Amino acid sequence: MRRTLSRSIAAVSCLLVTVSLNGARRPRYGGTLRIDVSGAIQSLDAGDAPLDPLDAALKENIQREVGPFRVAAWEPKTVILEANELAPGGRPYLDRVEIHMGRTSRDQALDFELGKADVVELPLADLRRAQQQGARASASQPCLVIALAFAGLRADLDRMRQALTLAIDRPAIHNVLLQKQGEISGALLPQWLSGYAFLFPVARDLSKAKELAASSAPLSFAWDKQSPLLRPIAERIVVNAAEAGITLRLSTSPDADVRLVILRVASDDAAEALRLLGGAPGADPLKMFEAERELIGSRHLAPLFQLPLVNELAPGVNAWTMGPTGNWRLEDVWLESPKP
Amino acid sequence: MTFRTRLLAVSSLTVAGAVALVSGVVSVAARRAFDRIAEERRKAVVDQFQREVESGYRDVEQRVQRAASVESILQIAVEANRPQPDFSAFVDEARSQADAQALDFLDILQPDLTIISSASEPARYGYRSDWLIARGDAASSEPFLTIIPTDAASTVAFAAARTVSAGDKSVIVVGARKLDPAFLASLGTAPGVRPMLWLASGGVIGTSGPVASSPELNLLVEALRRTRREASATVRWSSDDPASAESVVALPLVHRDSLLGALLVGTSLREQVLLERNIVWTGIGVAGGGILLGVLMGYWTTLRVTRPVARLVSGVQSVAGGDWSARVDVQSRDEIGKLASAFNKMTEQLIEQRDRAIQAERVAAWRELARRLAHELKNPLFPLQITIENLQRAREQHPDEFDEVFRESTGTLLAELQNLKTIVGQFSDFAKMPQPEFQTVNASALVREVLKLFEAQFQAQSGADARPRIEPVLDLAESGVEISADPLQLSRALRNLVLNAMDAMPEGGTLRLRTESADGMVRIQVGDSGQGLSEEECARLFTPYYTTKRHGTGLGLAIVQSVVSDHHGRISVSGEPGRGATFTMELPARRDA
Repeated sequence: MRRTLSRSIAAVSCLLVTVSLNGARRPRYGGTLRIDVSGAIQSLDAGDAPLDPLDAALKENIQREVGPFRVAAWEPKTVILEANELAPGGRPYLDRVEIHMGRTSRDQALDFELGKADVVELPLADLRRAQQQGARASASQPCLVIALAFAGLRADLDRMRQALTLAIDRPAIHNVLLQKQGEISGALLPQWLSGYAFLFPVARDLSKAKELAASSAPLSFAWDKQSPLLRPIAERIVVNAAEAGITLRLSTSPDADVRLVILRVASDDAAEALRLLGGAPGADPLKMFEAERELIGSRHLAPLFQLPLVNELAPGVNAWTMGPTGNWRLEDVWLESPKP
Repeated sequence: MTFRTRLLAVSSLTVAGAVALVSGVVSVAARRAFDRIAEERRKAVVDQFQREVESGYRDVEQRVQRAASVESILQIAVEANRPQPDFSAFVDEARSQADAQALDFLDILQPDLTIISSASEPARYGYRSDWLIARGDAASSEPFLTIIPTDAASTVAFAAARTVSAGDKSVIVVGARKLDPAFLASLGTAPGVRPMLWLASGGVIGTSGPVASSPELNLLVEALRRTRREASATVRWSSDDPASAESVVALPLVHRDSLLGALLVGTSLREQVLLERNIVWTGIGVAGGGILLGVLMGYWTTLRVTRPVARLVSGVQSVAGGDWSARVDVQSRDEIGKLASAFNKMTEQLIEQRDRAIQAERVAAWRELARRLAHELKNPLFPLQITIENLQRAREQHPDEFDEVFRESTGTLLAELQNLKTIVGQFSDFAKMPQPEFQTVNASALVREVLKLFEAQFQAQSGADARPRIEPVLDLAESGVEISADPLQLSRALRNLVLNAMDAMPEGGTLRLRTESADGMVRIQVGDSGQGLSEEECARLFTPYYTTKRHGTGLGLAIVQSVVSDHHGRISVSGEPGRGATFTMELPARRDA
């Protein structure tokens, strides 16, 4: 009952953000939708393994023979989808979808400004500014988990994990760097999906953090340097940690003591999402809570924030919708004909 | 040392000293000129860099002023006046303004110095800014120096602050440009001038990055720390390369009594060092050439000056060697020429005087010979005359006693005639002294042979009818007494000396004969223990015809002296009245002996 309720809420809320200036116009067929993404599509057939966010976003659109699109070309930098004329639900409006991969935030902004891209990823820090400027944006439910992942080699790992978690000023990061997008969370599964995320503590306790971190050795700290989202958060964490007496030394090693990572909630079903994250879901919320806590402890994780996926849309893109976990629904998207 | 060598040495030393003095004066003058130029250049550079620093202050002040004047900063100030200000929308504003104004650092602060937005450390929003040295800096309208901590190291920066008010509350915009290699490179520098920056937090940077330190630089920094005033030093960056030296002037960067660092202006001394080195080597070359030329000129001059002197010396030596006909050929009319003329005139006069002296000496000698002959012959002639007169008187007055008188008188006549014959023989011997025929002679052996001639007399002296005894004592060297001599003449001279010694001891005594070698001479001594000689007698003893004996002719020792002189030796006598006399012959020893 609870699961059904939460999925209904998600289905409704995922449609709220899309802003349409002229929704009364009739859809048209044809056209090529150009999408810029920073990541790369790896595989659309991952089985039970958790999919990359981009893979998951596309998976439903190109199911073999029954999806609205089929893969026409798969090149290192570009994936081209063509409309599946024989799709069971009917041919999609778009003729083609070009997905340009590996585009940096600056590239995407330039492509969008120059009309070379119809859909781009919008950094959360820019969302409020974009909205103030009247831009069209579409956001998913919080489905990205920003978390610290500790390497399980140090003897004082749990103590340092606790100290660092207590040292981080999450509200300041949420308000300033994340521009109040998403939510502060100590859980892996977002509140909209599990309903118990608020039970995981998120309060800052600097004095206790100092006490726990007293005379501790420096920790090596790494994150994906290519991610414009992670860099400011990581820098702020370094500052907060220094205030608590914890020295974080920047590292590029994958074996760093602490890594700032993004985890994807790949399903709008809590149990499935937890399973895809590596947990062993329980039958009821209490067991789910225990399973998630067990998963966090066993993988030495410290979730910090739950963030949505946000896309900025060109004025001619219509009926763009994202699922609660950020997956695209391209079969209903149509493009206005270019003005003469 | 010869006069020529001495003159050459004096002239060379004079030239060398003069050249060294000139070189030293030139070197000192050049160094002073270089120092003066370096000082003027240093002042110019210092003035330029002080203007550059002042320009840096003003530049930052203007940039911060422009950053604080933009609309977005005013919006932040407006937000600060709200009951619950939310600065989250402005977190990137500092970076935007820093980029726009080309500032390395720009912070937007609340009045309590809490960071609203930071260009250099965007993650530090909400924390207090830590690169304002004093709270007063934020309110100051004047630009100031500050230290900004960075991830790598602290850096010194020009900074300025502006307060933007919009209501009761305000925000502070603080911007800075760090003094880094880029800043140093932006300074307009003349060729050979190198700006550097010393940071009190440690390290020296140049336009290309960190600069290796040096002991001189450390001393300069220490002086700077003590005085906090402009200081300068010569810094040699490489101990192996003197041309790496720089004249470094340190301009302290002080803010609120804190020494934050110093702008180091290094002026390369490479050109000066190389120029000084060239001057030194040129000086050495010129001095060496000058000295060499001076020595050659001195040698030539010395030759010119000393050649007449050498001729004079040669002439004098010839005259001293007996060649009175020597002449000095000097054409000059200077003092040397006059001296040579005087010398030639003097030798001519000497020859004239010598000829006159010889003539006079010959006359005197003939007179003396006549006198001696008259004297020596008169003594035997008088007894002859008396004896003959006695014979005549006995024949006339006492015929019966004539036979006895005749017998006695003829004995007397024969004795006196023998005496006359002896006298004539001695004169004949003195006149017939031949040239010696030299051969190697052992002086000790010769003494022994001479002594053998007198052994009979020594032994007769020890018999029953003995006369007073004379005891010969020999002290003869066994080696090193070989001489080049005529053995017959030298034997004769020795016999005369032995006879003289025996005559000097009528009461008997000791005859000492001694030979020895010393200083390239062989010494033969004949001594007696007789009545001795006075000082006057010693001085006149070798004068011909001078004798101390009652019946001597005075030619014995003259003959001895003549023999010794012909052997290139000399003879002397020593003695005191009552203590005997000793004759010493000194003859040149054979060099191969």
